[in-house]
Amino acid sequence: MNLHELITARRSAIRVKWQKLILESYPANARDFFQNRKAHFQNPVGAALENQTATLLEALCLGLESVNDQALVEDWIKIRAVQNFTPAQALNFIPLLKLTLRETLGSDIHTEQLSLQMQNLETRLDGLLLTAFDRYMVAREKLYEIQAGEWRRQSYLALRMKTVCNGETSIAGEKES
Amino acid sequence: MKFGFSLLILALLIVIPALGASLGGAPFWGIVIPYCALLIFLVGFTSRVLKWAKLPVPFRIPTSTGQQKSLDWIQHSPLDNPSTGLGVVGRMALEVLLFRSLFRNTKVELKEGPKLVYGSSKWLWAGALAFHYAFLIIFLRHFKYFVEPTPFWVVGMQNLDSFFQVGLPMLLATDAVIVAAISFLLLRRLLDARIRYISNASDYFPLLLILAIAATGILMRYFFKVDLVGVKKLAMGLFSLKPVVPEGIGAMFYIHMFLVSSLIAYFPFSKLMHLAGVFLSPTRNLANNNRMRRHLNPWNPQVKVHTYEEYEDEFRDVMKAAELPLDKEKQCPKAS
Amino acid sequence: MSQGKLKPEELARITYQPPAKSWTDPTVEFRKGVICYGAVPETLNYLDLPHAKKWQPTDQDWKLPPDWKKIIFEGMRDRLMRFRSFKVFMDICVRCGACADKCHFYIGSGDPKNMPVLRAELLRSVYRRQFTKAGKIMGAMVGARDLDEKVLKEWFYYFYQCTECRRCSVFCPYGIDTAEITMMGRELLNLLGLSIEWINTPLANCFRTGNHLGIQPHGFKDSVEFAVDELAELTGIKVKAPINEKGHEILFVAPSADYFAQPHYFTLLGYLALFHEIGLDYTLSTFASEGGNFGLFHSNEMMKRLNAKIYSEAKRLDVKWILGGECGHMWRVLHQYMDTMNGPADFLQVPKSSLTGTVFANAASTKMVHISEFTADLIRHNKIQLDPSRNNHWNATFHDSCNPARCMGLFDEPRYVLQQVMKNFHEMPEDTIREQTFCCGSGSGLGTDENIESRMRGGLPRANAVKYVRDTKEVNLLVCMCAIDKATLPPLLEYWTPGVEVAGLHELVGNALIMKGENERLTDLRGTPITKPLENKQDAA
Repeated sequence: MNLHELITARRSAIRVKWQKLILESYPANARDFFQNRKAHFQNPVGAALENQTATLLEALCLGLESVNDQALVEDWIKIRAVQNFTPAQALNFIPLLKLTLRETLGSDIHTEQLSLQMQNLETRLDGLLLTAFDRYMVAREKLYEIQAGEWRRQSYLALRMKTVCNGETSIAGEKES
Repeated sequence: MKFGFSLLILALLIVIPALGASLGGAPFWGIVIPYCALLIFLVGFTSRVLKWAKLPVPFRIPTSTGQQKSLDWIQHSPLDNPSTGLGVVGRMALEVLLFRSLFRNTKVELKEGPKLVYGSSKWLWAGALAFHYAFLIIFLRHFKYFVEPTPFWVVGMQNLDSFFQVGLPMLLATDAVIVAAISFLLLRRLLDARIRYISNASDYFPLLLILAIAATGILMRYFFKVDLVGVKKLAMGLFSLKPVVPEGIGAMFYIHMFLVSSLIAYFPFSKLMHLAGVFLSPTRNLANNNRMRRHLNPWNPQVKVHTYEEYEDEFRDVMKAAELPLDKEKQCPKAS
Repeated sequence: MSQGKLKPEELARITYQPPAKSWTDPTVEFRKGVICYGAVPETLNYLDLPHAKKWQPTDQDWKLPPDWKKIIFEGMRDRLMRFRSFKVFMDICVRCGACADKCHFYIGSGDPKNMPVLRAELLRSVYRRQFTKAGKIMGAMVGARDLDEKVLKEWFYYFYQCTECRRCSVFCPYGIDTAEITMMGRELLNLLGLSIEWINTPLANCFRTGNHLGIQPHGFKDSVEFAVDELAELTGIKVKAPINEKGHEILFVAPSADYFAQPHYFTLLGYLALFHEIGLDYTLSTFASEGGNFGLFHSNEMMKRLNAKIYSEAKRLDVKWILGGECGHMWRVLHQYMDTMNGPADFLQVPKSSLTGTVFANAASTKMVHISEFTADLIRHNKIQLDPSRNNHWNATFHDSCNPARCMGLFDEPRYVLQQVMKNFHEMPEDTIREQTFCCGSGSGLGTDENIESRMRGGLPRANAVKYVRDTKEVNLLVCMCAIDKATLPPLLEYWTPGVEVAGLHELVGNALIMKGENERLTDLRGTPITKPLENKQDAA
């Protein structure tokens, strides 16, 4: 049995454990909500968690090197980026997957071939962590860009109105300046 | 902790009459306590409702949950967004009799495909409805103790209730339903982390108390038989204000009676007042006819406003330069 | 902590801190990106509001007056006497939890105190201690708390994390309305001068200049003229837009953002084109240049102070009735408060469309009609000619704004108009529209930039539903009728679902409207080239 088959066989156990660890970063009473509700539109966070953990594990099980790593983490990272987490907290779901894999599969990794495959997988996850960090930064930069955009819009308006109000006719404008 | 505290209070409420009744003083447990409780209930309930009713409703703020009445050819939702008093009665009836708002709990799942599956999450609605109706029927059923001869509607109800003839004496469906429904509501409070977090001791207590009342009732019916003739005598005596205390009714009855007395005495000071409050909720009991008929605010305050005159005084020159129409060509002296 | 001694799992695991055992613990952390700036003293002073000070919520010392508790308790007592809603909502909640997962802020953050029931309990706990016997005798049992500075800070934190959208009140079996609770909470905080800049600055501006942006009359006129010129460029028709003129039939009031902000501005072009085409006899007003009313987010008195100008201007300009533009909270005020506060409008006439003869009996007392009601009636009576193919480049969905949805029930008028002016329309999932609509996450004065993270997660449920129709139906336009939506949904979608634009209903009306004598429309009102239907089909094939 190779590692992919091993993960495939244990997929649901790994996923349950992994989700549980990720949810530990939320208040206890929100964990139930994020975990139990399958209502896609009433619980987008839970839905994204469900979806992203599934696709990520799927990609790992299939061992597809060509899978778009960014898409694997994008949705979840965007959510974590606006939930009061530090960058480390926001990205911890990938180290948590390593931890889960080790705890779930540890006793089965007894052949040299398997442990080599495990090392490769961990390297892949390290790479994914770096990709995730990139995506996190993109999300955060987007937030600042949006903020800056709002400032720009406001100051554009202020400038336009100042131009109007400071025209020759404006007494109020002159008084203010 | 909060649950434990409620449980402790309940235990006290059981131990007190159990000990008390065994020490005697039947008139105290059978007459004084129920009358006191009833008095507290009546005074407390009425004064609470009057206090609410006396308060002004400054604004008409119904929550609209359906299409408004506007153009003739647009289908209006008379019950979810009533524009008349009759519609409000309908809306309130749906709310009070069928728990319309709880029923709204829809849930949409996204299935593989992707396609949408519209489902609903109606457990709370079903549990609450089952509990309230079972409680109501049991309450009404008790009239057989207060009135002689037993009213026909009580007999009819009881026949319907024991439709599933299980055991002897007949198991009443409502007994099973109320225990199941309370257990559900209680377990939901205890097991769902979110609901546990928002629950106060005062949320567990009424559920426990009612469960204990139901339990003692059921025990009396099936296990610790009490002297029903005596009970009826006592109940009719209370009801007709000529109280008598027949001998040897049994301690279980006094526990039941004491718990019921506790419930009705506790009622006006607790969240159980939602029974009356729901009728006074301004988001439900007002018609959405805001733009059709003026609503009056009895304390409509005088506020400082900025008048057009002040505005024109401040901006007259720029307005004039921009060729905007003016009310006065010259600034009045006081504003300069 | 000794570094290097941590086990890998400790490195990776981050448990939520602090593990608050009970909601009665009031500790909150004021984080950048989540909270709004405090109101500046100049604006409070301008409006004669008490306890103005230089202050930020992040400060340790909130410079409270020495008798602040007394002020709060007096304020509560006073409001408990004046609002049955407040008193009843304090008393009857059974904490059934039906509302718990209905708040967009809770859904997006998981923060338990964003559950509507707990947001209300923050106030209720103090109410019980101070005003009920049960709370005085057995406080712990009924969830009563003493008021202290921490509790006050918690109030501020969570009452400025509620958009007063009323979604929870739809699901409450007693109709308990968190918007009402938040309004009371904010009124109490105002007594201590604790408000936010994004509410108070627009308030002061609006009081002085008639609009939230502080645009003076000549600036307003300039902007309208600019729009008239731009419309002439797009259509070849120079429309008239009377300002402050007496004796017209109608006073038209829109949110001021329509004149100055994007994409609101394209909706303004739509109004101007429509009014010209039907020959509407109307005037705009610089004094009533704001239909919106941030007073709603401040206090009922402030709402009344700002709202007064609408009727007084209608009277001064001697119009017959008032027509209102696309705005959400503005319509809550106009529909549920204006007549009560500043009526009766007996100097006006029951609105009647001079084109169709329709009498708007639903506005018989307030005498103000929503433009989507007005336009729906026009289209129904075939009073305007439309070419829906001019909107073929859009594939739209409709966002019900909270206030028109849950305070009026204005659902089918805009949908009717939308379906007449364009061909490609898809609804979002059932539990995210109409009375169950999700808020933009930035309403009630929270649409500023310093709390951007909070806005993004509050808007997640809305964006998530948009994402669904974007991905499955190729929707590229979100249509709405609210100035706050038009300002805050674009950044929200930019973050969550890039590729979906935001537009007002009357922008699309303006696109489709065939005007007599117009040039051939090569672009829509945004200046984007229009794809001809035929070409469009060929492209698709």
